[in-house]
Amino acid sequence: MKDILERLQKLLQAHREFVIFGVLVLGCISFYLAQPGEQNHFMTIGNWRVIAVNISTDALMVVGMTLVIIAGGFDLSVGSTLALGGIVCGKLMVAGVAVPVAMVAGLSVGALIGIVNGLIITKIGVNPLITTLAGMIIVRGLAQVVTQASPVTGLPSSFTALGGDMELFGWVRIPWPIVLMVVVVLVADFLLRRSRFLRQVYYVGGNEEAARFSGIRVDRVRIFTYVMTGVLSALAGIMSSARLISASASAGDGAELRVISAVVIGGASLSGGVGTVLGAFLGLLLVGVIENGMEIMRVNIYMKNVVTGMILILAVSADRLDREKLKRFWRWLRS
Amino acid sequence: MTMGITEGAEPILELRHVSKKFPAVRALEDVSIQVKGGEIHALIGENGAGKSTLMKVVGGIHPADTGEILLDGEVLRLGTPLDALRLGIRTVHQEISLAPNLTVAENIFAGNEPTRYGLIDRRELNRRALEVLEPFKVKIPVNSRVGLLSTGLKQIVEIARAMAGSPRLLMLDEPTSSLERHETERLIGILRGLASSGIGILYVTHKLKEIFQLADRVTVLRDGRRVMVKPVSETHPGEIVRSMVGRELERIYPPAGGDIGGELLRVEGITKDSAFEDVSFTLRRGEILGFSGLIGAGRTEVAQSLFGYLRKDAGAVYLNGERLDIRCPTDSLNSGIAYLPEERKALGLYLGMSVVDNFVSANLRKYSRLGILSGREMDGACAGAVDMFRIRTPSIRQHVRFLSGGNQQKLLLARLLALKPRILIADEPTRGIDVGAKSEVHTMLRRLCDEGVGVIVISSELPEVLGLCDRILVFHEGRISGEVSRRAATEEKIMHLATGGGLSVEET
Ligand SMILES: Nc1ncnc2c1ncn2[C@@H]1O[C@H](COP(=O)(O)OP(=O)(O)OP(=O)(O)O)[C@@H](O)[C@H]1O
Ligand SMILES: [Mg+2]
Repeated sequence: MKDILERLQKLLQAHREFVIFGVLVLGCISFYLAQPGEQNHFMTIGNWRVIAVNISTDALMVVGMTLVIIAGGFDLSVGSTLALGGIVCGKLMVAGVAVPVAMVAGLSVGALIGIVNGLIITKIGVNPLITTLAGMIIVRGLAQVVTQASPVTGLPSSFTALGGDMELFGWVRIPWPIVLMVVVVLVADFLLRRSRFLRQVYYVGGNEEAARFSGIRVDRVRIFTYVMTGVLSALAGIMSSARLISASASAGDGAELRVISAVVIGGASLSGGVGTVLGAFLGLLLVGVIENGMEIMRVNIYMKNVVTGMILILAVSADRLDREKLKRFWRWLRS
Repeated sequence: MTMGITEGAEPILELRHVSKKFPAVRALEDVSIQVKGGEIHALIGENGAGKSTLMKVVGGIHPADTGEILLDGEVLRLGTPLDALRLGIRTVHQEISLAPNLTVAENIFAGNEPTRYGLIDRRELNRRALEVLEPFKVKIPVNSRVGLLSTGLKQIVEIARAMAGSPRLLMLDEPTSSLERHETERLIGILRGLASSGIGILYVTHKLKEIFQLADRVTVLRDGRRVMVKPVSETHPGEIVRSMVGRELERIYPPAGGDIGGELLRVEGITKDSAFEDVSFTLRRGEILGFSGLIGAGRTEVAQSLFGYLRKDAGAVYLNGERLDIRCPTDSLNSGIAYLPEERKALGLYLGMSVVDNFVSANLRKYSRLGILSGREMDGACAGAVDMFRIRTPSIRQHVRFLSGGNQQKLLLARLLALKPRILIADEPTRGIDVGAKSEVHTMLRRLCDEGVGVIVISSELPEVLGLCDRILVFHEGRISGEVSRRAATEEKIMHLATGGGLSVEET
């Protein structure tokens, strides 16, 4: 019996995705039971569409952040990059630049921010937290300078269509942001599990010196992770401006902490070397679902933050516990 | 041998029927052992036999599942390592566990610093650190950061830290694995002195010779069980080895390879400030070249510069006559030069990752097609290596953190050999490896040579250097102080050169 429990615990710790998925299902069931039958609003396609669209921009950043965190890094500048990426793309389109060109320009801004972050962190050796904190402030400032604090509007309709629905067979309608999110998450999850290049991210985060001795170009891998977050954050900015039909300098404010929480809930460790994209995405979905359920049940909206914080600390504590620690804790309680 | 301990001496430490199980591994089973006051008790066994686990159970790191542990006749209830420390149980762990950013003195007295008006008294701290280090007779600046020291010196600091707590029971887990002969002998002297003051010492080693130089009694563990305990004076190396591995074992070095080929690597005047100077030598195909010398003589630095991990300030390196431009380890692995680092935990292993992940880390290209890794191929190759090297692990998914030290070392070797290098630089390749596996490693290195690989072995163990190498370069204070051929080599000659005895001894 003890053995089975032990194995189960090991399995669950090894496959964080299952656990989060289980919690997610439990959460959904309880939100349904809280308001069962006809008047149930939670378990409707319409509501799930709302949830999915709501997390779709964060999800893109979560993918990048997962890479950064597995490599043992940290990136606070994602929210600001989102804003600047959207603004640059928007301004260019308003100025008459072709839509695809403007989008590429927006993504390039993200890449550039990533390269600068990465170079400062690897070549100068400044702590990632400090580097990207500075990056976050500077980039947000740039966004404000460029827009003079008034949102970019008048975006071309061929662009804002990206915030609308994709039609399939004339009757299935799925919002483009959801399509993009699903594709990015699935592709990234597969590649992170199976691609040779991305496997190196785990080694760099697992033991940087050992990675050097294994012949891995550590700095290159590190910089790559920051570039990916930069690009994905800019993409998030572009998508959200298409959806909101405007780009503003305050977009993505506070996104960094939401994104980091999701990645950590999803099983990544801030000391590096562990984590998956799928886990992080499920972490984000869990937070999104709980916030949505609480809204529907008209719980005081400020409770949202309390609950999110609690999920974070619970998830991380569960990770740290093992049988011997439990035993010790128990003994300490009794004495 | 020390003064035979009196028959009736009270045991300081006693284990009664102690068992300890990890998931899928029985690490200790019904082990009983007594360490008496004034006794040095040696503990030996194959890699993964449970030696370190035994120390961790006594040190309060792992609770025992069943059985009793008594200290001075009283049953111990150990909750945490701190409880053990308070009772005067000190351990020198197998892996170095110092804080690299603190100074030597701070490390030695960590948690126990002398204070004045509530503040740490640095003068007193450094003075006491010097006092503790004095008997080792090595030059260690007590003010310098531990991270800057060589592995051997770190090991000495680690030992000094354990002794500084005036322990009642001192446990040392392979304390001499990075020490060379002088330091080892000094340590033996120090331990004997400590023992004669009445404390108990439990001593784990893979070096049989040390047991006969130092211990009063020896306990042999096999697969977590005690299979023998005897006074050292009543046993001999053959018997110990037989009970360790459960069969006869011939412990001979592989014969020197047949033909040594042409020049493979030529090193000309490489220099690195304050590490080594003007080092030149050649390595031929099929040759095992030994690097010998005292701790801090610069051997590891030379190796790491060849590997591209450290930057050299001057000099040139030629592979097959072509000048190499190596800027980082990636370059050197690409040119077929592999390096086995001495500090496996810091520089070699990904402790939180699985055996397979560790095994393939340097060789991802081999297991991928179009940039996509094949899980099946990686698992297959790794399972093969685990078999071949007899790495003891419940599965290839086990985290490397949970492997015993010797098995971790075998895994690192397996990883490098899978690379099929042209040149292998092995820094202490048999560090922490048991007697049986050691000769397997030697045979394997020799077999590599037969395939035309050039091997450089850095070893602090003179017998290993003498038995294994075709040619030996002796380092002294960052310079090559002499070269000795296999036939002409003796321990005396090498020690003479290593201590700066000058004059090149080349007689063939
Ligand atoms: N924390 C742990 N979790 C799971 N298994 C463990 C753990 N610690 C040790 N083991 C296993 O217990 C066995 C005994 O390990 P131990 O470290 O005591 O061996 P050892 O005799 O010290 O070997 P070595 O000579 O290689 O250092 C090994 O098979 C090892 O894999
Ligand atoms: Mg051990």
